[in-house]
Amino acid sequence: MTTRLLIWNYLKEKPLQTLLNIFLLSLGISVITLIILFNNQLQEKIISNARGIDLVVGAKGSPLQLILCNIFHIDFPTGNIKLIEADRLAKHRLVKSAIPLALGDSYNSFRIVGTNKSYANLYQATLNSGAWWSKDLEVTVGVNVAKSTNLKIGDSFTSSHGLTKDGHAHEEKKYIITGILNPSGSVLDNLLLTNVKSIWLVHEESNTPQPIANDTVHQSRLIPSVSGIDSTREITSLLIKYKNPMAIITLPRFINTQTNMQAASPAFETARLFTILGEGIDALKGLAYLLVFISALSIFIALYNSLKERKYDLAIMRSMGASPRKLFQLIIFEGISLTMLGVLVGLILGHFTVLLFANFIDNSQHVGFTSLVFYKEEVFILLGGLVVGFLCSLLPAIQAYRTDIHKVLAGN
Amino acid sequence: MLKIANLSYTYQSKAQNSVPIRFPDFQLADREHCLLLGNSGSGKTTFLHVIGGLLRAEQGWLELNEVQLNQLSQSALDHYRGKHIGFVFQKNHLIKALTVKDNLLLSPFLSGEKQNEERVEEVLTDLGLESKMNARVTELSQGQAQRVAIARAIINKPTLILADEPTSALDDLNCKRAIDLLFSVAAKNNSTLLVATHDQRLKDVFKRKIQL
Repeated sequence: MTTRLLIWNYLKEKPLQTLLNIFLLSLGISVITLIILFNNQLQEKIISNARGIDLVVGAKGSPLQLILCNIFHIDFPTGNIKLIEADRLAKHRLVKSAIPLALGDSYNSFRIVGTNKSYANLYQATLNSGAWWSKDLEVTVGVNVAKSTNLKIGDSFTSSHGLTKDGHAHEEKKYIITGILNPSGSVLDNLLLTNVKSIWLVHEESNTPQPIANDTVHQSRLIPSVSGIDSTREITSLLIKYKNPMAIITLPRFINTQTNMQAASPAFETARLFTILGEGIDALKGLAYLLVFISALSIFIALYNSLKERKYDLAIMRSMGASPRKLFQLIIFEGISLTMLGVLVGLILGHFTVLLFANFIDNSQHVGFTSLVFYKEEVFILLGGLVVGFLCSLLPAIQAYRTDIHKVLAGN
Repeated sequence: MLKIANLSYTYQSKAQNSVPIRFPDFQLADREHCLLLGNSGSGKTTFLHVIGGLLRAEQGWLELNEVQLNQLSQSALDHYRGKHIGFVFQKNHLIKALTVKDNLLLSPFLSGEKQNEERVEEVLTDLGLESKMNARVTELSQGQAQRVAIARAIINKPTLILADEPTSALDDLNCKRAIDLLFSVAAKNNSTLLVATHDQRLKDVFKRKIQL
């Protein structure tokens, strides 16, 4: 006989009530765990994906959409900007570097991004096999793309217009895969990278052939080997890194007022997004805490009621040599055991839900959520479980401590 | 082994006339089984609880095996009681959440003694309950339950067994069986038996009798 065995037997004596209490608490805990996992991972993703990008410049529209589309690749482009204008901006004295992005096509709903090598460098991408794209229509694909589409090096495919599966196919031009990237935990895992010219080539109407001129005199700064004065060329956006802090104040205002383009700051827009999400998360949190409170109340009532049935047990235990302190401990441990079981089941349930979510969600939207990380907040949940267990068993434990053995055992 | 002199107990009550209950002086030698007779309300249970340390006498002499019980601290008294005194109550008060074996093991566990499964087997065999070792308490018959309660009282080989009305709810046959059983376990474990009852059927069984 041990304290643990004794408590276990008492819990086992009322299986339904014990299960209900554990289940109720675990429900609240799992919601809290879920929020912690999603919130943390979302923030990590946002920070890691927006790293090194101070400003996104694109066509006028919603700034949030601009960020979502060009950094996280989840929303649609706001439109196009002229390469000439983008080039001019890239030469601005406050711009340290500018990366062009040309979006609009996809393969199996994975996005094809026309850009240059700097874009891959932004996320410290490394090749798993093959080579980086070098010629037109060559692509290097992210690890999730390769896994989900079974594309291998040397395979060719036709892209489809738009960012969904049912866009019309560009049958005339075929891409060829030259390399596959290592997992980076960033958006690159879900992208197919090529050069900007390939995107243009695919979109050229076959009936109006308009060769992309090689202009060595007026080379575009962003896309070398392309004429920088061709006013028909367009790209989707520019990812800009500032030269100095001065740019934070002046550059966005300059772009928004002096050009036809729009500048959006990832830091500012994601903060705004989090404020919007925050309200929903707070409501969910409130619900979770309510669940925890109700389950604590339920555990308290269960312990309190069981004391009436157990008053002879307690008195007998005293007659067998148990001190009042021992009885106090016994009830406290029972309460803590219940809440700790609830917390553990809740944590497992929370992680399991993320696992389900990560597996069921469409691969192209797979933003890399994982159920196998643990955050320090979860330690706080465990400690919280201890505190809740102690609090809801305190009053019953005090009553057990005060058991009047003589009265109970002589009682008629 | 048991010496009692000038012992009294006062109930703490709001009523103004809380008269102290004065208990008779007596001494018991080792294995000198004794009957404590008295009508209902004469204070038998209170006396038994004072002797067993469940209640504290505010004055008088209470000595068990050369230890003065009312001088011990609360935790020392609890420990001493668990180790040296076994209780048998009118009702069994077995713990329903536990099996027969665990009910017995609870006694050494709570008194801080070594938990010996062989001892459990030995005691249950003596009482003819070896087949019920792993049974739940709720599966036992009334008589079996009482035998388990007696087994629990003697598992720690107490020097003193205090029994409060162990037979008053039983018919003549079972009354005889129960008291025989108490005598035999007391003999086997070298315990002294002190039985408080108003049950006149036990009068002739005991040599030593104290009237309250």
